[in-house]
Amino acid sequence: MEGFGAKILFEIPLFDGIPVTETVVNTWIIMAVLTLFAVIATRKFEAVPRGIQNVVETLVDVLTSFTKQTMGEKKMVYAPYMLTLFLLLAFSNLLGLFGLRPPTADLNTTFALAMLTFFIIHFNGITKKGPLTYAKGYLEPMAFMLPLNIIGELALPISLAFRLFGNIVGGMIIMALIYNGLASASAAIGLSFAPILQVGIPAFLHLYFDVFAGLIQSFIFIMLSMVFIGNAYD
Amino acid sequence: MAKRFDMLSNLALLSQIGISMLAPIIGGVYLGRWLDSQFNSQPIFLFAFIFIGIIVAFITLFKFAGGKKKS
Repeated sequence: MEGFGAKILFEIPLFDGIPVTETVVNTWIIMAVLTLFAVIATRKFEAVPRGIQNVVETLVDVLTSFTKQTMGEKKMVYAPYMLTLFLLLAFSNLLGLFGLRPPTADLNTTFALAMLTFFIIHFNGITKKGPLTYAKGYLEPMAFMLPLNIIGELALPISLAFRLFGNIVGGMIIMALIYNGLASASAAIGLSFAPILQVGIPAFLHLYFDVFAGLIQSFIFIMLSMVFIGNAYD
Repeated sequence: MAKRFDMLSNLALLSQIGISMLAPIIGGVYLGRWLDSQFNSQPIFLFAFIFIGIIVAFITLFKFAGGKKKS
């Protein structure tokens, strides 16, 4: 049996050959789905919402009020970013339901998203507080704390990225093991031609690992991004 | 910081406390091991960076749980 890493599907014959993994292709699928959703759902808006417009309005409403509650009125510019991030993460994590590999089960994806938060934090820190005040923040409470503060800041994107990655990849590995185990169990009772045990039993685990953990982790990711970006302002 | 957290937000912050303690210590272990292999000085850097990692973990924890910095 091969490992649990993302498989390389094909290579782009540029330079030395750029490998394109499952992660990238599945991200393209999500991008296509989200783009289509955005186009179709916002085609015609009516004063009295009907059908899919209800879904869109609920999503925007919930995320806007949540941003307002967590970051305050002044930082409402981040509401669209957070909604985008949430939709991307939620769709990524739910992709496991369709038997595809979630893009978030790849450290590259989660780390890239965590770096976005990291750069927003420090960009805001520098522009909103002023470079001097920002730099002075590293010398608090005492000057010799400088290296400790720097490591502490660097630990933030790492903890954000690894938490999401670990949760999703853990769920994915357990699901893969259970599917294989159930296939063996079906073979053991003489049903190797139709692995009947694989039907139904994994559904509950999918419910937990993909739906519950996936949505909770997406929520936690944007929640922490909001808290840390909000803190960068003051 | 937010004035009013609901249950999920508290859950998120709680889980962040755990991992924010872990990240600097593990980072310290790997950095120390790498430096040791570069300078062939086992285990001086390893111990030094584990120690730094633990201190950073507690500082992060303190900042995170202890509330706002004074402005």
